[in-house]
Amino acid sequence: MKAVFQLKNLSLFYGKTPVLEGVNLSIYEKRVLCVIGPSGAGKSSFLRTLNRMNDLIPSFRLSGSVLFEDHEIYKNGMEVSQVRRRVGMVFQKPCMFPTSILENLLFGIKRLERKGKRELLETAEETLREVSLWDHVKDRLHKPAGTLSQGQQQRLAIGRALTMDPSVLLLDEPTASLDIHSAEAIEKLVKGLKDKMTVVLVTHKLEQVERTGDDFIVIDNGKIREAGSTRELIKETNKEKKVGIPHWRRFTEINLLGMIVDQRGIIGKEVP
Amino acid sequence: MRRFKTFFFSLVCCVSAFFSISFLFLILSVIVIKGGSAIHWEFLTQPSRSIGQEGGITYQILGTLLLIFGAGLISLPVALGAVIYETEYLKPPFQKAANILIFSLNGVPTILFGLVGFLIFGLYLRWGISWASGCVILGVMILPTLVISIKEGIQTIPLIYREAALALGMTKAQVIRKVVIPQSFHGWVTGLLLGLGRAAGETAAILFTATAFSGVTLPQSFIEPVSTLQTHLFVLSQEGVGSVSLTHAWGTALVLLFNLSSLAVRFKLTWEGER
Repeated sequence: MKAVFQLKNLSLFYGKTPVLEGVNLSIYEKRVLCVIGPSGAGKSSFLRTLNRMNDLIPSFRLSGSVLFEDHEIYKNGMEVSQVRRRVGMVFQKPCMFPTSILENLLFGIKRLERKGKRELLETAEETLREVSLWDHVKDRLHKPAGTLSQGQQQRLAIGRALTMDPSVLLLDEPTASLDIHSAEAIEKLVKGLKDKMTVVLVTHKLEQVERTGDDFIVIDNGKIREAGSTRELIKETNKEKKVGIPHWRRFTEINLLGMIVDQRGIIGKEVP
Repeated sequence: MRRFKTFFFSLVCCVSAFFSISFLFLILSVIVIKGGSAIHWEFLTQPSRSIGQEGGITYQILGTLLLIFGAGLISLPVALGAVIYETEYLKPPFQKAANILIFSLNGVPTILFGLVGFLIFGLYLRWGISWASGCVILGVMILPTLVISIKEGIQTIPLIYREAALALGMTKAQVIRKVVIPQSFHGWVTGLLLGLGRAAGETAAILFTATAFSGVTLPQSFIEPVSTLQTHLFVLSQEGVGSVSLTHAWGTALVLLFNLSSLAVRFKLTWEGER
C-alpha cells in the first residue's frame, strides 16, 4: 500500500491553544479513512490541514510535517492552489453558488482549465452520472442549483470537486445535514470513489464508519486516541454488542482497541 | 400609567412619521404647483435663452447626466479597487485606519471639494472650469458612498463561497475575480445609484469648477464647462428677473427632483431585490 499523506509529529495550534498534538499517521492510496470523535475534538482542523484550508485562519500555526505524495505541502514557495486542486474538499453544508446546476458543477474546471464547450459538457454528463444525478437533472441543467434538494446539492458539490480530478477527496461531515436516504446515496458514492482516489471522511456516525470506511482514526481532546482498520472495529463492536456497551462510550472512555497506524503504515498497539 | 405611556409613545412615533411624510408632500406639491406650468415639450427639448427667461433646459439635463455619469465612471473602479485592497489584502488594524479615512472624506463639506478641486484641477492642472474637473471632483466626493456600499456587499458574501472556490484550487486573485466581484454586484449597483443621486443633487462642489450659466451647449472637449440643472436652478432663483425666470427655476427643480427620485426609487428596488 502506498501512502498519499504522511503526517509526522504534526501539531496544530490556533494562537497558543493546541488543537491537535503529536500526530503520526499515514493515509493510504485508494482507501477510505474515516475520522471520528466528539464535537470540537479537532476533526475538521485535522481535515483542513491536509489541503491547507486552515491558512484562511490568521492565528493558525503548525509544527511537524505534512507530506503529500512525498512533497512537504507546508514548505515555503509551495503553490497552495495546486495542492488544493489535487486534494479536493466538500463541506458539511452543500455550498451552491447562486447560479445554474451546470454552472455550479463546472465552476472550478471552467475557470481553471482550458476546455472547449463540448468537452465541458461531456465532463458534466460523466460526473453527474458518477454522482447519480444525471437522470434527475439532465432536463434542467440550466435551472438554479437552489431548486435541488439538500442531498442532491451535496452530491452536486461532490461532483464539482470530482470535475477537478483530485487524487484525494476530503469530506467534512457531508451527510450531517441530510436525511437517511440522501445520506445512503452519499455513502454509496463514497464507496464507489475509492477505486479512483483516496477519501478522508469526517463523521459523527459510527455506523457510517462501519459501512464505508477501510480505516479509521478517533480524535479526542486534541490527540489521536485510536486508529485501525474498520474490519477490526466491526469485530470489536460485535463483541461489545453482546456485553451491551454503547457504541460511542468506548471512544470517549474506554480504549478497547489501543491501536495506532504509525508513519510506516503499520498498525501498532500504542497510542502516542 | 403603563397604558398611558404606551399610548403616549405611539402618539409621538405617529406624529414623527406624519411630519416626515408630510414634509415630503409639501416640497413635492409646492414644486409641482409652481413649476408644473413650465413643463412642456419645448422646455425639455430647447436650449436656454435670454438668461433663462426663454427656451428650456435641454443642455442642463444633458450636462447633469454627463457630469454624474463621468463621476460614476471615475468613482466605481476606484472604489471597487480600494475596497478589494482593503478587505482582501490589508491586515485588520490597517483596515480600521482606512475605514476612518474614508469616513472622514464623507464628512468634508462639499464646498471644500469645490475649492480644493478648483485649486488643483482648475489652476495647477489648468483644466479651468471644465467638465473633466467636475467629474473628478464629484467622483471623489461620492467615493465614500460607493466604498461603504461595496464593502457591505463584499462583507455579506458567505464565507463558504470563498472556501468552496479556494478548495477547488482557485488562487486568491481568481476568487476575487470570479466570486467576490460578481457576488457583490448588488452592493456596487446600490452604491453607484446612491452616489449618482448625491452627485446629481450637488451644487457647491461644481459651482466654480465645472459649470457655466449661459451660452453653454454640449462640451466639445474635456476642458469645456457644462451647464447643470442644479446650478441653473441656483442662478435663476438668485438672479432671475421676471416671473418667467422663476417659473423656469421651479420647472428646473421639478425635473431635477424627478431625476433624483427616480434614482432613489431604483435604489429602493435594487435594495429590495437584494433581500
